[in-house]
Amino acid sequence: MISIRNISKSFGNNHVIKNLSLEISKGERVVVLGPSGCGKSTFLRCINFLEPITGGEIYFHNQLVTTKNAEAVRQKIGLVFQQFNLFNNLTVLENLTLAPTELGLLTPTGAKRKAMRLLRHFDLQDKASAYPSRISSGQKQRVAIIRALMMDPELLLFDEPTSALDPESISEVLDLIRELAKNGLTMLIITHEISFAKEIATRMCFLNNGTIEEEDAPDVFFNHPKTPRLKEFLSKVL
Amino acid sequence: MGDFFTKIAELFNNPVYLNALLRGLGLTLQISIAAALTGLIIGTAVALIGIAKPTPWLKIPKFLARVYVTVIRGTPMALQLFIMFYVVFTFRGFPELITAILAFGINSGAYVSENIRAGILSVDIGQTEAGLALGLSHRTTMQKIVLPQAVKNVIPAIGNELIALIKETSIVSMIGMYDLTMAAKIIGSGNNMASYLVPMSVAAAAYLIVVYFLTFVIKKIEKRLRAGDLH
Amino acid sequence: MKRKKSLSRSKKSPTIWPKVAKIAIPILLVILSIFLFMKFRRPADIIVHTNAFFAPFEFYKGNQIIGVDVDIMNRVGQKLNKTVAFTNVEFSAIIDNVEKGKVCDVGAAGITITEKRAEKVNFSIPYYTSVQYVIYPKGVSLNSHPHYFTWQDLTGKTIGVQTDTTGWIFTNDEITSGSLQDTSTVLKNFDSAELAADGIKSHLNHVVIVDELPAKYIVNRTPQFACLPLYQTTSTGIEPVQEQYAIAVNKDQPELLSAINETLSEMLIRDSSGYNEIEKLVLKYMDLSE
Repeated sequence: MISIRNISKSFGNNHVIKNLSLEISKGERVVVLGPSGCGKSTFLRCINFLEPITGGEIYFHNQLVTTKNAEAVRQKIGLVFQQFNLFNNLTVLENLTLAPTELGLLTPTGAKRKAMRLLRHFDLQDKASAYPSRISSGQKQRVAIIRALMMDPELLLFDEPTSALDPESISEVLDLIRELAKNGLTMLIITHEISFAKEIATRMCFLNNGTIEEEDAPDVFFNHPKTPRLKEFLSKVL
Repeated sequence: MGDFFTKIAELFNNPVYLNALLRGLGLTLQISIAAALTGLIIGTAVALIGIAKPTPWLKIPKFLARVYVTVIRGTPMALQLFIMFYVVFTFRGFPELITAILAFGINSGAYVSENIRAGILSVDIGQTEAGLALGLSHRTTMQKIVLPQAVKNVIPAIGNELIALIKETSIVSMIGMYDLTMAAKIIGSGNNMASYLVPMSVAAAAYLIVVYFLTFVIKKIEKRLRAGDLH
Repeated sequence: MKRKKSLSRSKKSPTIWPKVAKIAIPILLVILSIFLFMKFRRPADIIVHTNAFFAPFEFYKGNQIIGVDVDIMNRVGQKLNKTVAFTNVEFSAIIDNVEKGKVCDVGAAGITITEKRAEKVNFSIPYYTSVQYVIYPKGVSLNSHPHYFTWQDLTGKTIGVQTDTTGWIFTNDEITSGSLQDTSTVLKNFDSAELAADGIKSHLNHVVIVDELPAKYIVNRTPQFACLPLYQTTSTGIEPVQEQYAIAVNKDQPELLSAINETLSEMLIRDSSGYNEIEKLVLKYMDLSE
């Protein structure tokens, strides 16, 4: 579905991403691990062109992604942020219905119906008219994920979804992601939750120094790491 | 000293003088409020032009916006007022109230645009990122998500601008408009009290009371807006 | 101009204050002593307040104030063997300043004698008679008589005046209790006669009423304006609206007042040319100030 070929991203003289390549097919769940500050967040933002790449190409369904069609591509690729980024001036319900109605994908009533259905499914229906400042962080992140789901994305990107949560809230969010995995949603997740990664990933990636240094099936990745730096990293985190 | 207070009593006991002050105060408020609103509109436009990504379409508007802000901030308000009255709006029958509102509004817009710019930029960038990540256009993201939040940040600045205008508009008394300062000038002139000390003091007190009241109201509004932000 | 940026609260370490004090206090002391020095040293024996925008009586030539009033007061200073200094202030402040007597002793600014003013200060003998003039745009025939205006000619018009001048006083009286009562005649106060005259060009007012000499200056400079004297109907017939200038003296300075009166009497003597000295000075300075 998505073909990332030799992309690079620099900010001035700072080369954050160098020659990174990755292929993701439908139904896959790719988890990216790596030391902090090596451009993992930037990498995600390059995929949906929130950050335009300075080298290489990205193909989505065999179509080259450029700044011109980025907006359309973003409708199909969702992004869940570490800091949730719910729209503070809108209620939970409005957060969910804004994009589909503005982009003409759903009528206001249709959007509301779909939103309420999703909220009910995840037991958040009584928060529908609450403002983001009034709900817990775990609830915020779940709402953020549902907001992305409202667009029926083909691929969902997660940027350290649980790193800003207090420990009690982490499991509710991971449960939600597990359910999405069960329904076959294609995902690319950046996380520090190792056991969760082991459980959910169909493929593991090690992102270090702006490029993917190792890519394996989970058990190979964790039990027989090939590159010395990955070995070193795993010994630190496990 | 006692003489001062007798004269003040004299002023307050004179309905003609009180009327004059009220009439002047009315005009001061009219001009200030209308100019503040005008400045808000102009300032928002200038701020948005300044923030927008530099496309070729925007080269000229961006340049004009910068010139506008530089010139207005670099020249005294009195001169701007004179130019508006004596050079620009010299058409027969053109209402001087409109000229005054435009003069102060254009002046206010240049200063306020900076506050609005800061207010917009101070909205967390994550809000914009989330909007764009959903596929919304820059414009929709700005309109529906960023600007509504920027308003909260900008309200105290606009409030302060209104207060500044209340005092600034006193220079219209130089060219014949009947504002609060003109009322004081007339009450103090040879034919009336023949002394400026008392009417000027009373007018100053009036300005002070109005400003104090507005400050109080703005603080209240700020509090209410912040109340929704408890995390 | 007046915009203050909000001060951010930066945390200053406690040890910075002694340093600040060491620099700030000496500076403040220096400023304070300069201020006190200036305040208490008298620049001259006789201080005259004037508004140097009223040619030919007082006006700026470069940095200097010159004019008829300046010459008169300098003559007085010579007579008393005292130094004289002139300060430019707002016209409307002069009478109050002379009354208080703290910052000046005399006001010489083509001041018209009025009852209310005479309550506060002593006036010298009158030394010039000035007629109120009407400045109007050429080609607009408002006046019924070819050589002068009457109040009736100005019914329903917007009249520009300079704040707190006799032009203002007379016009205001006429509108509130005179022949222009209950008409739609409007009075507009400007900070100066020039601003009032410019107002005609901007359609803020139709005419300007101001003293003869400032009117003639403005009209000389502005080809589209003309001026004519203002006449009023009295019990004895039709006469010009006029007033007399005098010098205002603080009430606690009788010797100064008599010296001024003596000087003026000398200068008011008409000689063979038919002019007195003051009239000659007026003509002289009218040429100079062009």
